[in-house]
Amino acid sequence: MKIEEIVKTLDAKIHYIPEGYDIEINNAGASDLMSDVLAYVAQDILLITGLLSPQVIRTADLMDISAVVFTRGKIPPEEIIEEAKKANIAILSTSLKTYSACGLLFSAGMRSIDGDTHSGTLRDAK
Amino acid sequence: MVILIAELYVTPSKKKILKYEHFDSLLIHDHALDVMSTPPITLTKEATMREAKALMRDHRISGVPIVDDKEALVGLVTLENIIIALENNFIDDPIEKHMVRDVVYLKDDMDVSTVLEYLMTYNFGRYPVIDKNNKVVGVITYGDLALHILERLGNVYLHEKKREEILMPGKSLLSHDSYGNGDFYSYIIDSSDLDLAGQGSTSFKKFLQEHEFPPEDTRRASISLYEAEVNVVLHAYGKGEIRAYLKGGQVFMLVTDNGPGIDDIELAMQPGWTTASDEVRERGFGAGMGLDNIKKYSDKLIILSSNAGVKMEIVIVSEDKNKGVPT
Repeated sequence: MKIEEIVKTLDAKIHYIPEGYDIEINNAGASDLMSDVLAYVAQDILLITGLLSPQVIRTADLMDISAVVFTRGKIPPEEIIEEAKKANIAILSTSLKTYSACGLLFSAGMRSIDGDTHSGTLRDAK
Repeated sequence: MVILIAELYVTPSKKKILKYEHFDSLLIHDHALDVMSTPPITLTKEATMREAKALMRDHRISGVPIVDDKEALVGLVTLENIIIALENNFIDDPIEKHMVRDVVYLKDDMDVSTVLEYLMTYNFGRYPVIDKNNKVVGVITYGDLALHILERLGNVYLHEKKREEILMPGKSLLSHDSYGNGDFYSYIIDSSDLDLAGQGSTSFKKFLQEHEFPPEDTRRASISLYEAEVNVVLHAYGKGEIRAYLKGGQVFMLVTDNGPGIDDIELAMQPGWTTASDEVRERGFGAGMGLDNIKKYSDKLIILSSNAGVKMEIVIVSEDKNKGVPT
């Protein structure tokens, strides 16, 4: 998914998109726990989080995460956006709850960090 | 993966190694010879039990190796032997009649991990050390070993000031190098303000990128360091230090703090276990994954904890050996 598509799906506000940002993001993870995010094996992903702190950006920087969307209508302050600029990370926010944001993105084709699909998950559950 | 967990507590009256795991990796170059106390306090088998008692009292020791005229080990007199001799009134007998004959001894060329194994297996107070001619050349006690390990780690917790002098040079625990050589990075962690937590690690990532350390290894190094840095901020009043250097395709990172230490390292290593406060959790940390993440991303890890602080060394070994060579 292109960043514009993510913005459209979540009806998100754009706070920062790096210049010439033209990448496909096909996997996403959602967590408010940064240590859980640090345990992800994926990179170049979208991080969906209800947590608003400078550590989110630092975590994203270290994990080579491409974009962060803050949920529940949290608006990132200037200092967070400044850090994101230095780290080349796109920053969005949405008024949706984390669960709904994930659901909408999933329906639009965004997959989990470990690439599991809807049918795959159902099959595993049986 | 080499993980070393050590909790060392040294007070003037009590020298004790509480826990150990894989000390061998650390002490690979050391032998019994380097650890033992010399010269050994010995007696010949012709001396009396009373003489042994006097010697033990004067030197405040709990056992005396007994030797023949060639200084070869033939037995050992322990406190227990002395007590029995006193009770049964044969304190003036020659030692030869009452000494322990099958003594557990160490050889001077044994490596320290073997010495440690003996100490953990037999649980005696002291062990005579003999050379290849069976001559007694020294004695090893728990205290000797604990002091040696502490010395090796540059981690002797004495007075505040003394401790600082010892810790400042920043010796690597996993190599024989000192922090400060080669491509060196250092950062003072001073985050009473939680907002600053993680800055040391993000700037270290840039340092590694500038030195063209491979991207995947850079990622592993900076994530490990990040967790360690956050731990200092969360659990050690935010005061600590990061030192790191690159050498031969490896990055060595040493994170030290002066906090209260980790109560139980094994427990703290378990995923999900946490002592973090609510304030910390609001930052998205304190999920109990920190040490587990470090373990997952690093190639070698040493955690030393005492009531005077935590010292953690993390080593990342790059697959590309040509990177990170000091220029």
